[in-house]
Amino acid sequence: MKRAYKWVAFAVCFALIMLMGVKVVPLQDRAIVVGLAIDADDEGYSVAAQILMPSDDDSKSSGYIISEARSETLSGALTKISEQSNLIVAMSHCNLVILGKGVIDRGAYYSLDYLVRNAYLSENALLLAAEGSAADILSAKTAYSETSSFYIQRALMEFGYFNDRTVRTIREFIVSHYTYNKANWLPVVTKRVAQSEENPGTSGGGTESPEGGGDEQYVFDFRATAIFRDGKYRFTLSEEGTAGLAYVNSVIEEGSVTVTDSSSGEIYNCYIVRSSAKKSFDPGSLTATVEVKIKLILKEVLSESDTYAPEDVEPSDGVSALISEKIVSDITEAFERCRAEGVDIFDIYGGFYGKGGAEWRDNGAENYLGRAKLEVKTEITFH
Amino acid sequence: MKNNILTARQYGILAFLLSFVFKFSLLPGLVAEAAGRDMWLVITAAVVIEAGMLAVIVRISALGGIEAIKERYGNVAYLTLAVPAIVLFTLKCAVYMSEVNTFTTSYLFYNVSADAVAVILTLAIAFLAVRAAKGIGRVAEIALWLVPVLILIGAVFGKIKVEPSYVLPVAADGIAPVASAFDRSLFWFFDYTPLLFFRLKTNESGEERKPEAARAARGGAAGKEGLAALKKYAPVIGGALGAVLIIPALYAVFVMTYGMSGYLVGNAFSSLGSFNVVNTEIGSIDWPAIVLWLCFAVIVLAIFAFSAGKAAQNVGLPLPVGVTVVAVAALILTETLFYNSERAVRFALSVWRYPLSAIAVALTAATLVLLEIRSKNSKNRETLSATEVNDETRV
Repeated sequence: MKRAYKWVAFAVCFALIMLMGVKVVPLQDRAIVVGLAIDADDEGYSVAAQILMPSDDDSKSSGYIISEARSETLSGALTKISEQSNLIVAMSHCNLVILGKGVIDRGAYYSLDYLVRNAYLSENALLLAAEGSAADILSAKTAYSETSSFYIQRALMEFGYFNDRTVRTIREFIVSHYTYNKANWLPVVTKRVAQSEENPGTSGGGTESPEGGGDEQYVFDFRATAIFRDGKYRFTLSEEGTAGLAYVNSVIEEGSVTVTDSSSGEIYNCYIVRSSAKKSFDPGSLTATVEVKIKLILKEVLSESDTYAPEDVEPSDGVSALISEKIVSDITEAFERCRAEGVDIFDIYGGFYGKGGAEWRDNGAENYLGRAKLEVKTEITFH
Repeated sequence: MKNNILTARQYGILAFLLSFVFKFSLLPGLVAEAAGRDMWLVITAAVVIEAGMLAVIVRISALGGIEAIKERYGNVAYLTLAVPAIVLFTLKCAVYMSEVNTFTTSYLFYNVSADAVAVILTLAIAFLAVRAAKGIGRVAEIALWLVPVLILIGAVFGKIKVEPSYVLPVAADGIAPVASAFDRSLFWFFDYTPLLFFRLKTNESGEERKPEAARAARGGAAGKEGLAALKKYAPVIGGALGAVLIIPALYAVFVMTYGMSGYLVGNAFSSLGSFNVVNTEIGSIDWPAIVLWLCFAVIVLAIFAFSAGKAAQNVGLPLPVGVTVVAVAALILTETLFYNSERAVRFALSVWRYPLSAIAVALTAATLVLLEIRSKNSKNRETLSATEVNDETRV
């Protein structure tokens, strides 16, 4: 009897699922979006979605199409993509959103409302800025992957711990927007031709030319960083500044530092095993201290005076001093360049306020950014 | 009918779930909106008060449970307590059900209507509630094993990205924002009240089963008794302690993760449970957290439905009928007044939160006081009759 009422409950649930209009959407009826490019102009938004298309053959590879639509709003544009493709747009696999120059100029945060509200788009999806058109980046044929979005995701997720790039997710961008100064940043993605039809066989990191024509294949670069304040784009940070930002805000586990000894002309290249930073604050003297701990392996020495086997070379204090100088210079470049634009890129307000509390906020915070001192300390060890 | 007896372990698990589950859906965002970085202080105050309340409820269980009111004071007194409790549990069930509906249709099945989810959810809740304490307790024990699975997934795939400095400074603007956020969130607190309708079965040792006089005669056994009591209630203390430690800690992690943008987060548990990971091929890994939260939510809703049904059963209404009426009432409210979670939240934030919280607190306090009075009276009577017997023997 007891079992019967279990089965009745199960049968009722099943019948209800069937009767209450639960629509099963087969995979082939879904537009699985893996990357989104958003551009904007005076007339509204242009959204390009990179959609995976399952192939019918046995090649195991899946192709993709770029579907584009324009509308006043992002959700409107995506609805149009759904209409024109006769597919239901599925965002749960979209881990990449590229914002074009138009969107950035309009105000990046302003355009993100739909992305924040959309429960299916992961808050951990990568967010990037493009120098020009975002759709251009998304539709670029890449040299090392079939789909540009997977290529960029690999570059920033699996290789995002290099010191020449910063990585931002939607969540991180939103969180930074809610700091006191609303200082924010996004990595800038640019494309370079890796191989052209006219010059085949030069891929694999071979010849790369800044420009090309025809059916080129591209590689992407993330060495610049777009800086925002209060959601509005301010300027683009250089390669050095980007590295400075990475030293302070990321845990770096790969990459390299190259320094030149100006007196001897020797060039040293060191591989970064790991680098992390700790920030401390003294609200009384308005001093922010960044302590970078970096572990390196000396990989290469270029010297005119002699030829060294790298493993035989014991790095001298001079090399450490040069590397320290380089790191301090990169961090200072990021801080000062941003300070000049009124951007508190290292959230030193949060640090001073965290330590000084309401007393500091009410009495010592006036023009804190202009008055603050940044001290950078390094602790360099060789592996 | 003794269908409300839980083992100490089940009692501890249910206590933890009652306190935990609905503090991790919409509430973190709402508390963040009012208290900002001090949101963890708000929740610390709440869980500490709740732990005190749980101690009172356990004491009530030892005194015979809320149904003892009926035996010692009669039906009118019992109904005076039971009717507000039924109203409270039904309304809580409806508001929480609305949260679950919105969560399910937002995060899991976008092409499923909220109506379908609500109906199916009601069936699941009613089914579990009818299975009474034994069924609810067992399901909770089974579902709890998903927690280590989730932790394991987080440990293997997760990327810890927290900024501890977001928590500082603590209470920079004084206690006013914390108090204001506490006041605002009252609806989500005092959720141990349904445990009034459960009884805690403890494994008493042979020593404890001996008459009180015999135990007292041994003398110096106070320490041992204390230790035995601690052992007896260890799982319950564990559940309460777990809630007191884990909930504020996770709120602090929430602040460290979302900073001042926390109010934008729809469901805190699934957001934190994604462990900052996305995978190129499989997307995010928030599914285990979503499934876990959903299981826990059904258990908690079943506890509310059962407690309301049990309150009615004590005055003669069969449990399945009581549970069905409450579940259907909650469903109707969910389909009408609380059609989406925004409406439910508006209700929970309205002045209704005061009478509902007052019911939860007053119900517990009144039950304890009434049971303690009659318990002392009966002890006095026992002592008196024992003295009379002795006097008669002497004569």
